[in-house]
Amino acid sequence: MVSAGVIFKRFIQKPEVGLLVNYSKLQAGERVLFCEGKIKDKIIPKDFAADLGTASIQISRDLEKHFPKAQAQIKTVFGNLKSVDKIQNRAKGPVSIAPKILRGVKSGEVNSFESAKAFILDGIGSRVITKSLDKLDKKQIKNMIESLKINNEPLSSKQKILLEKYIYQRKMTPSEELEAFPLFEKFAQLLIEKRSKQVVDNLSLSIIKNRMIKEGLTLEQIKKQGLLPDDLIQRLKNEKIEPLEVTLINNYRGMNGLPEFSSRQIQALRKVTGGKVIIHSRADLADYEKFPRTAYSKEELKEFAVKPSGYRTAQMNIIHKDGTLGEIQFRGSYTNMIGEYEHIAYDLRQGKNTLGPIFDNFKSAISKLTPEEYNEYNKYLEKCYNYYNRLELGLPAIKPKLPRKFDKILSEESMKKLHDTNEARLHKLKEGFKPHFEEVA
Amino acid sequence: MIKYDIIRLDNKNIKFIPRGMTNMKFSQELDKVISKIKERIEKEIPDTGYFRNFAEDLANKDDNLFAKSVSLAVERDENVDGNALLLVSVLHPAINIDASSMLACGKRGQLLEYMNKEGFKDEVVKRIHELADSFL
Repeated sequence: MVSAGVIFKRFIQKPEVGLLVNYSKLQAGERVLFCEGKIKDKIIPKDFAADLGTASIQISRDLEKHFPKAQAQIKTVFGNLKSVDKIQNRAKGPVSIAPKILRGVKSGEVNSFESAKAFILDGIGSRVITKSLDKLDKKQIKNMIESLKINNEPLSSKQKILLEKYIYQRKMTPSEELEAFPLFEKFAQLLIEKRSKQVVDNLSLSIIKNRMIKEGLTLEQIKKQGLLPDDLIQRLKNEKIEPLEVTLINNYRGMNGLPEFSSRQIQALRKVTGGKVIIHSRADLADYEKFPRTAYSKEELKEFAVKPSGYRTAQMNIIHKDGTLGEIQFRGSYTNMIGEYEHIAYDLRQGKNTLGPIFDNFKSAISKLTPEEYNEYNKYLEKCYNYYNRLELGLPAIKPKLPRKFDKILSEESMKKLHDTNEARLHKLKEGFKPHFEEVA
Repeated sequence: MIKYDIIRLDNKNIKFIPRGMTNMKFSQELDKVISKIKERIEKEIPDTGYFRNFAEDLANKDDNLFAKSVSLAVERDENVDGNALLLVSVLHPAINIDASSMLACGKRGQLLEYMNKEGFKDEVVKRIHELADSFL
């Protein structure tokens, strides 16, 4: 379509997925985005939608240019570790960039091409997926319980019984569960650290190396401030370390879930990153009253729980060596699997509807849930996350069952099946496919 | 990508004022918090061995700061005996997220020395704003 000399086209990024662009501007290489007053009464004019699409393609092309070096950097830091199963990297595509910029425009944070580019913090996304631990036997679990200390004190007999019940998922009252969870968290800390030690060690070294280069931090200061343990200081002296800049850390987990990195590991990372890095966490997860004069109940916290579905991952905003903004997620292989499809229910409830026809019945079942039912459904999803996390840590695990009141299509098994079928369908569609522009009728 | 579910909250009406104009009451409350934390560092952090983590906070009543509460906290260094971390934390108005950053790390004397330096309070105020901004 030609409007006042401007050519609009549709960019088809992958099968069934595309966005409108101002083809004239794209061809001319104009990197501008005027946002002021463009959105009125929540209506996005076609011209502006096309400008967003154009900027998204331009940003995506920039990311593609930087992608190989960014990918190599992440592989250098984590690729040689035995505990790492695989590393995934991707440059964000224009179809994902456009709605994100639009959110920035609506919130007032994006008002130009440059601010749009700076708004895409996860331009280069990487996932470091770690292997599961071997399954623990009963004797190993018993020994771990016996040697566990909290605040330097061994557990009482009552605490040991409670913890054992929690580990083996025996029937408990809600108050027992509440009492047992902090014990379980301390118990699991050693396993969490065993699984992620290599990753956290390499991450710490890369962060420190970056600070040595950019801030002039010296080995003497590192020793004096106790920023690294002796074994890592030796590695810092003897090995060639790839620097990495981290700007923000999130250690996501559900209400009753375990984190990817332990509180001790997060504290160690806090020290190596220094004061500039912000850590987002949940106030109730500190083992002390972090806001002692601020009254809030456990119920309120539950209502505001971070990701009620139990989403768990350690996530960091980073700046790659060449200045490109990126994000790294650290998670286990089972968590990565469920994370691929768990968000579908959430996205649908938020009004996102980019799923193929295979999901029609699922969509219908999700849309029928009342808010109370949806809360209950999230609790089921959180149990699924926790089940898979137990497998990753080598702990006893009983697979949760979808409560009978829900349509069977909502079960985790069904979601996985739908996701896998859809992936296979898209894979087939992608055979011989190349991104291209289509004329707009 | 921030993956928090924040409900009940509408921040469209939050007005921001330029940095440094934090109101007097907040400033006085912060002085009290700093003074209490100094006292507790002196009394509660041993040369070596275990101590309980502690914090002092103030409820934020300033509409210009996107936070429910602000706190200074001292955490035992879980990796180095006798060391502690001094943190500044900001609680999200919906109370589900706490954003924090480290101000200093070291032995009791080193923390107090850092806190007694000129400009310490200004640094804390600057950090509080950065942390509150990280929620937006």
